[in-house]
Amino acid sequence: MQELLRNAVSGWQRYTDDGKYAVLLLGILLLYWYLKRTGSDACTANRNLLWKYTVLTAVMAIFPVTGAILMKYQTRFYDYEWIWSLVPVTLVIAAGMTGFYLECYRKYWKGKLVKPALLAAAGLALLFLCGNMGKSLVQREMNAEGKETASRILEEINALSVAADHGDENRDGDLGNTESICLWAPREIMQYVRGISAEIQLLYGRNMWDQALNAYSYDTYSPELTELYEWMEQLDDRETIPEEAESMGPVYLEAALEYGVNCIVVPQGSQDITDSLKRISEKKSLQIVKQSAEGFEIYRILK
Amino acid sequence: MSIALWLIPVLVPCLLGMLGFRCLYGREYRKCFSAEEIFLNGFCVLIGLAEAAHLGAVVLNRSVTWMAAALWGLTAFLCFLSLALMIREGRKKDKKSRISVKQEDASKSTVQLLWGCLALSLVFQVIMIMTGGESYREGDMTIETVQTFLSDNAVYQTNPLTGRAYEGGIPLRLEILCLPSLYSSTAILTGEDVNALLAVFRVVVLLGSYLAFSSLAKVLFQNDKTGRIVMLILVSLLIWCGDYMISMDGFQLLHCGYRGTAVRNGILVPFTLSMCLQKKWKGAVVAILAETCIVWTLYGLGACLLITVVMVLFHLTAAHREGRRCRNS
Repeated sequence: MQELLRNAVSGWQRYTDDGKYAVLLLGILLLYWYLKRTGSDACTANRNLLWKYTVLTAVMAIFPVTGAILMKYQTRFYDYEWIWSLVPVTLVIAAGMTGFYLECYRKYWKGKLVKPALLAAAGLALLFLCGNMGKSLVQREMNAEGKETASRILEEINALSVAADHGDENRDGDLGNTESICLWAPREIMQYVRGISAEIQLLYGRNMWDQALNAYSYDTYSPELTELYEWMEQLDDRETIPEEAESMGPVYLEAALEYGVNCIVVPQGSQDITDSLKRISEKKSLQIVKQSAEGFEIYRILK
Repeated sequence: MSIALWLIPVLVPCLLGMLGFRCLYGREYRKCFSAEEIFLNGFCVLIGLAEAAHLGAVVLNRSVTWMAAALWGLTAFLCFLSLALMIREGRKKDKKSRISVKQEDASKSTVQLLWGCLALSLVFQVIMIMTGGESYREGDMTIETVQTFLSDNAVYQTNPLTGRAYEGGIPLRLEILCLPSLYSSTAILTGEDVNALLAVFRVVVLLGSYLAFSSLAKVLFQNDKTGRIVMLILVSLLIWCGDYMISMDGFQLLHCGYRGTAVRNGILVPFTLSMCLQKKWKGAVVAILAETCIVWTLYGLGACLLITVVMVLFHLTAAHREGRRCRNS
């Protein structure tokens, strides 16, 4: 409960950090209260009911104790900001602003142009200042580019597997490498793979770095797998790899093969990985096919 | 993109909605419910059917193909039933039942201009959804789950994030959520790519959200058509500007509308509020049930239930006060 209380206190701060819809909502509720006191026509029975409901839920969401109770109600799976799903923020802001504007226009400024236009402009400015537009578009475009790269790498992997199959066919007269692909790659590739094709298995999933996804299953990752993930992520910037971790490369590669990995993708320029894989393949009598694409090196390991 | 892909989430809810309200309120439902409410109710019924098919596949350990056949077979049957009833009742339609409402103020051209602004904003939002790159996937694995269902032709047999067998298993509460099953069944029916299919569903959820807000606007502004349109335009602007946090309606509708939370916040919560304000409690119950099928909350108790309980209490308090006032006078 203490943790929930702490989250409820810090949650409000987080909720109002980037955008100020919650503040705008409180302003609208205050404005409505004022209109109600003055006996305005804008305060119909349904609007009064909606106002009461919104005041109740907003107050419950803002105060830490009631906020914590609501968080308990919605389960730990969701953060503080999700309790605001109960508060009709969009609806009340839109209805409140509309009601106030039309009240002013019909009562005082009917037929006039400048004052209603100024009020509308002020309302719109307030709305844009309290919100934030197009913030996530950049991220989505980056995701689209990342997915494109991952798609091209998967195409290369498939082509490599088909070529290897044909090689086997020429050699042995039958298709020997129809086993499913188990991939180990940097996070920037891994995060898109299962969304593109569910035929490919992964050494670990997105829940390795996106902790919220761990709530979707009881499966957990061993410390060894976490080490493999951390090592792979360091490969992108090789200068930052501690010497100790670099020397562990062959051990991690061997461990990955033990986990059933048969396709490894690493950033280009990882000569020591090629050497390590060659040594492992000789030791375990495996065949390795290498291909470069999109700034990555693809190693297909065949039995 | 196949026509069926658009027809299923648009036409099917309309037919199911009519049938659903007819079952709940009898033949007179047309007088009580607007077209928006019928669509929204139908959307909830479609979720219910998807849940039934999904549970069937999980409990009986059946394939995704079986699930798709069960869902669309049942849906087709109910749609035909709804159509048949509609045609039969259409002949007997009482023209007097349609009440013409006199509109208040605002010239026709102003109203048309406002409608134009709203339509423009909506079109841009649809374009953004369809072309704005990848959807927001943090904390969500719907795409992987649908791909895995289709690839395995089985429900939750392998971990969607890795493609390997589950070691510890999956929480029961999660296992009963039906949206991935609805999407994979639609993918089987239309033969469409999962990403294209989810983009269509995102558009449908956005449109559904506008319909839910439109239904609320009718309740709050009644005959004031200008007020209703201005409110919808402001809702549209709030959706555009609410792009700063995942829990905001705007963010959900524009970037990840296929998620259960987006359907809840965008469609079910406004729909429940609309039903509760009009004291149409059966409609609210339908929304509560739909929410339990798509969002993981404590033992299925969701936001819609809490909203309904609070609204019932408000109505009861108001009725009690009214009764006391009558007695005193």
